[in-house]
Amino acid sequence: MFKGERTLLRKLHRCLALSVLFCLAAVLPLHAAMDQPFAEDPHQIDAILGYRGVSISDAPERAREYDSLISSPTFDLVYRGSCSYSENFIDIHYLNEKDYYLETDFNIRSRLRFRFLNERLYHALDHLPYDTASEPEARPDAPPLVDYLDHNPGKDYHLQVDQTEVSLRYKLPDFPAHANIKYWRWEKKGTKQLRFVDEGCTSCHMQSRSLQIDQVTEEVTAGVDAHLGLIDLVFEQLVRTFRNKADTPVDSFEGAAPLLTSGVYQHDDSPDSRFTQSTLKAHTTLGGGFVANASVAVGQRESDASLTDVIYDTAKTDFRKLASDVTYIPSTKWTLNLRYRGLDLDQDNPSSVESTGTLHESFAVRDSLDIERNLYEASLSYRPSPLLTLKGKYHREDIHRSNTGEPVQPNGFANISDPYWELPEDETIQKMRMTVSSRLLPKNALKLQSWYEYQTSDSPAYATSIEVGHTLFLSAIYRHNPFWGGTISARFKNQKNNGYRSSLFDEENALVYVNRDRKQKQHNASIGLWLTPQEGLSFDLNYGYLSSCIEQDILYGQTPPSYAIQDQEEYQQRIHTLSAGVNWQISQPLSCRLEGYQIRSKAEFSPDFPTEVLPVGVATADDLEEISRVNLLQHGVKGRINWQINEEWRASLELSLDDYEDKESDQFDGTVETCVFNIARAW
Amino acid sequence: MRHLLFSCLLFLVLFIAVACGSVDSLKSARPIAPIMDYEALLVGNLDANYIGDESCLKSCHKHDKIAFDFKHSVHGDQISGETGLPLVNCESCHGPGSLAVEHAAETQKCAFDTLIPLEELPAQAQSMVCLKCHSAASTPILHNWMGSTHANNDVSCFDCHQLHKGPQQKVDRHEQEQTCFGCHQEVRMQFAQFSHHPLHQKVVCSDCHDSHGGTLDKSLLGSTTREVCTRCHMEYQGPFVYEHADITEDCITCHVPHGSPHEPLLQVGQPFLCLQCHTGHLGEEVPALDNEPLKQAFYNRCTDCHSAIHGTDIPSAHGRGSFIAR
Repeated sequence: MFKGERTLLRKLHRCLALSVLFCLAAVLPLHAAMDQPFAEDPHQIDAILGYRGVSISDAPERAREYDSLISSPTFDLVYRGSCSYSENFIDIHYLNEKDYYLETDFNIRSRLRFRFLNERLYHALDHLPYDTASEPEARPDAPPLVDYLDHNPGKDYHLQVDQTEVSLRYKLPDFPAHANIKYWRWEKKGTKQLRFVDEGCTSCHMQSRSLQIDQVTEEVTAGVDAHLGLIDLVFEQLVRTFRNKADTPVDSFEGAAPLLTSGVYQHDDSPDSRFTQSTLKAHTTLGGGFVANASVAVGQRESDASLTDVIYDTAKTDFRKLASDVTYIPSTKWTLNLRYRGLDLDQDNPSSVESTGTLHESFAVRDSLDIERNLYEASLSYRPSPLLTLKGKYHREDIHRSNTGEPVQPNGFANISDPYWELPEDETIQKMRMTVSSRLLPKNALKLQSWYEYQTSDSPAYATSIEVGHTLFLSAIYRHNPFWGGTISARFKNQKNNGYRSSLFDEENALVYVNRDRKQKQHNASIGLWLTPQEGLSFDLNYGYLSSCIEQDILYGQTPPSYAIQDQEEYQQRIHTLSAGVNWQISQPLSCRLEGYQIRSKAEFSPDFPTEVLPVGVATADDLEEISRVNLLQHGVKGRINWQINEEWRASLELSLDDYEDKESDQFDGTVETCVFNIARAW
Repeated sequence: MRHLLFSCLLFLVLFIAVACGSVDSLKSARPIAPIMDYEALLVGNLDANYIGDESCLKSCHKHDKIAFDFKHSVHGDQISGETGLPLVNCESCHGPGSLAVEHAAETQKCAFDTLIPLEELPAQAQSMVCLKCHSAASTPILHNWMGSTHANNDVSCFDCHQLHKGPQQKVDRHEQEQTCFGCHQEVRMQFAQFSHHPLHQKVVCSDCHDSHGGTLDKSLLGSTTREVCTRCHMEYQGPFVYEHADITEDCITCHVPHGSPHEPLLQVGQPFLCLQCHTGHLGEEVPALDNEPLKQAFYNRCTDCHSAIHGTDIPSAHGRGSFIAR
């Protein structure tokens, strides 16, 4: 299909969707309103007018990443009521021009439901300093091997995201069937830091520049669903398009003769694309002892890139998806679930591309992977008593990847050096889980759950895949006592993968395989408590501990034995999160809330290979740990006082402070303080 | 074009099937092999009679707020039989109420113990209170419910939907995270980390997860994590000429969507993230481990050079798909 045809089809789809939307919106309410009107009911309105003052110090972006940090008036409104033919709901939260939320729902005699949502959010982005030049001691008389250049030093980066959703759901007058249509739009605008490299002849030029972001994603979903006695049918058609309105970055490259001549080239493109899917679903009546459902979806992902420096046929992916569940409940004691999921991805990329400025006019391209995945799952639950449930589950996933295997070839130019993906053609993942759940007190006041899962893969595809894994999960939820309650959970994972290896070519171009054995342990624990020692006073506390430790064989270098070091390295990560709060009804009209939080995050990669003398110099593990170390402290407090002036009026004052501190560097340290005063009326 | 024609054809077939069906027989729910023990629990007290909601809502001011909230909820039109919609009133869920109000005038309160003890029912029976009507009403969001993770871990509709809390009977976007965190405490802790999705009024749990059951593990919307993530991050959907193997179908190989101490939402920090699968730079032309400045360039953030890491259509100068600018 040519691009002109696709553009026309896209426009037709959009026109069709919008036309149907407007017709439904205009005609159906009239039809629905022909019945007798509602009796007028009182309306409920809650309006809040306020002002937020913001004070910042240093770099506030990480202290409040999603806050636009503008001092401004604020406005909130919640309206609920009915008019002659509809139930209406309006919800508005306006913080400032860069941050607001609007939602409206209209329910027209339960025949037509119209929903409109529009919100804007702000996302502050980092600007990593990029202005240091390197002067390696190894080459004192030569230009630096690496240099840095920031084309836009000191520039602030941020994104503004707008989300709009319009949906209509129309019910046929005397039949359980609906027509649905929805339009969704996601728009991103702003600038972000683009860091890239020019592999020059003289050295690697690391560069940073501003990247203009102006992207729109639009989605139209239309469908029907109907209850037809024994079965329910659902059909849905989805079309989603992505348009990048900003130009592809173009920069000057020194080039690396003879591979690339110096010149101005496009790079780091975000191409336009499209996603279409047709889905048909069916299920038997829910709530019976035997329930089955099935769905089939077919669709396509298409790239609509339009580069000028590279000439090629754009890639596309055809997919087919199947899903089915069967649930059989012969009695209150037994439940059997069977599940199947099928996925067939057929990726089509061009066999070659032509790239201007390169040594060879045309490069051969390796075929992308086609993936076929079949998932089978069976679980059986047994409830010997209403207080206890025992469940066993078996899961099997068969993955088939095409275009995999050997032989690989030494690095070459123009020819594909690795025509196949070095991945297993077939992989089977199996999981077995045993779960014990208990409700020791009535009304779900105390829920206990624990499960253990064992996982294996016969051909783990990646180093991070799990060859053998054990997971234990424990949790308890208590809500019986009016004075206190809580949730506690713990998760322990122990995984290993000794089946992954890297292939390299030694100095005689002979193929060498290097094992990359790996072990990972994850321990997570969290607790949430609430306490109400007396009426009008309550406390809450949440604590979490997240820990991960990885030991893996890491390979430095690509040409053994002279330029390759292998060592078992350790990576550790630990996070503590703590938040606490108190609510206090000081007197009848006066209440307050005070809360605080602290998060400590530490991570470090600890390379520890011994010093090696190589042909080009001395290789050490020194400094590597410091470069990647993360040591963060985030904390904040918030206090709020509420005054119920009378039945209709109330006021509140809120003060907050958020602080971000990086113990390794002060580049992004900062503090944000806000003061919000509100006056509200309800009627 | 093929997909458009296919979808139109399916639509037409469906429309004809609906139009030709006998309306009355199609409107009823037809559960297969109903579970008689649960059905007995949901019948209610056999000695009681149905008395209509006016005897509950309009005869006692204590129910004024419940009456107002229900009237303005999605069930509001169905509380009266005049609209022609299936009846959803007090007794639809609580059972026949004649015994509950028999002595209400003297005691000034209802005898709740004569109604169906909803809070004490098993989770599957609680869900069936809702499914009795929703299975005859074409509710496509419940397509995967019976096989869902929640349903099979004894989570019922009542655990999330508070029908008498207010007019909003669906879980409100503003309150969704607190509802989910009530059980998923670990996820609350994950979102507290520095790099996180903007939860609370911006992104909510249901933007990625379908709590009523999804086709993917962890009740995710879509069939691969790439499909879930690239709805909002469609600049990474591609497909690209040079893909990052099939891990682009599984974004969580590198990313952790709830929260992380590593920007942008990475499982572990760079360069270790990439060194797990790939080899590091060290060779005759690149003595990358020789001194501190070279280590700063080659063992810091791999994506500073490999900037098109999610896939690219542009070959590197060597003619390979190295995700490097040029």
